[in-house]
Amino acid sequence: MTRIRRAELILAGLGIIVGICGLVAARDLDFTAAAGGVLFERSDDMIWGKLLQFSPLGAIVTIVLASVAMLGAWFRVRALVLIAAGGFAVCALQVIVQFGRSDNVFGVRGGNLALFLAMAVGLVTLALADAGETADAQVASA
Amino acid sequence: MTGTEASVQPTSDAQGGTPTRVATFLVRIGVAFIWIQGAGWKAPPDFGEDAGRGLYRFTRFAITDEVFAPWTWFVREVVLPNFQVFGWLVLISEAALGAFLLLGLATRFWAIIGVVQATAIMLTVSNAPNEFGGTYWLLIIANLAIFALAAGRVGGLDGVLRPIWARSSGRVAHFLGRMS
Repeated sequence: MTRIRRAELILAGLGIIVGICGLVAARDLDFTAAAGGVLFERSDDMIWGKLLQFSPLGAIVTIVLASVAMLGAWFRVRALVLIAAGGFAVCALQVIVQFGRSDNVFGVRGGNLALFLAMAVGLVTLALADAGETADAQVASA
Repeated sequence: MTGTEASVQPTSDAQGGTPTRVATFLVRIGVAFIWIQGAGWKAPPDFGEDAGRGLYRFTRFAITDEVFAPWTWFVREVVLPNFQVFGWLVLISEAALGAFLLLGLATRFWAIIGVVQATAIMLTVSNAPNEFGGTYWLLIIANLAIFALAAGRVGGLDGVLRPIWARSSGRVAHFLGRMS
């Protein structure tokens, strides 16, 4: 397994874990609650406190997109990784458009912009680097 | 070893053994968390301007509890009259700082952005009530440490991608290599 694929798998795995934590935090909320459940809400004074928050919908979208990235990385289907990256980019736009408003259907806060941006930029950077490596390898073997 | 080979070496040799690498990784992730937390409460669209709270309240401390006169003038004459633009810049820059430091991608570039951002915060609020000014100096120093250690090469995407960037002749790859 290449270092790039391993990095894709780790990034996707972290996305799934964060999404599951978000789903647990939002378990008692409306499906599209504007004020989502906060991860580690009681740890306000710790650096991991109040980083992210999700409605159930926001958490499920995160899990689904990260799972698509995981499948793409595992089966080496670059298009799936890029689709997941695009989905996370749309989620980042959702934060910009809806955060702080009553139609905040993913229930997010500003920290979620960082998460979605990291997933989008990380996955697209790794997928493009993997494409470049594959093309170089094909040229070398020809 | 050629110069090119040396420039793409993982940092383990230059940065010591496992304890150093673990500490470098934790500093980067910890500072990323701090920036993500910071982005969390900057709520658009007015960023607290209407109610006089949130980011607006903290920005006004630059005037009511002055730290550095030229900065006070800048906040009063430039920032507050354009507060929503400023609010969006703060939200997006702090979220991007959190994202890129978390990934360890173009880490040295973002560490410098972090130094600039932390300096702006320090000049704004370090004389405010119940604030400990040293906090912001520590944030500046932590971002400088990330720059100095090239912390994205330890457990970050910079470490994975630098060998590829070094082989590439593209401008973007060259830029990212320099910024990592």
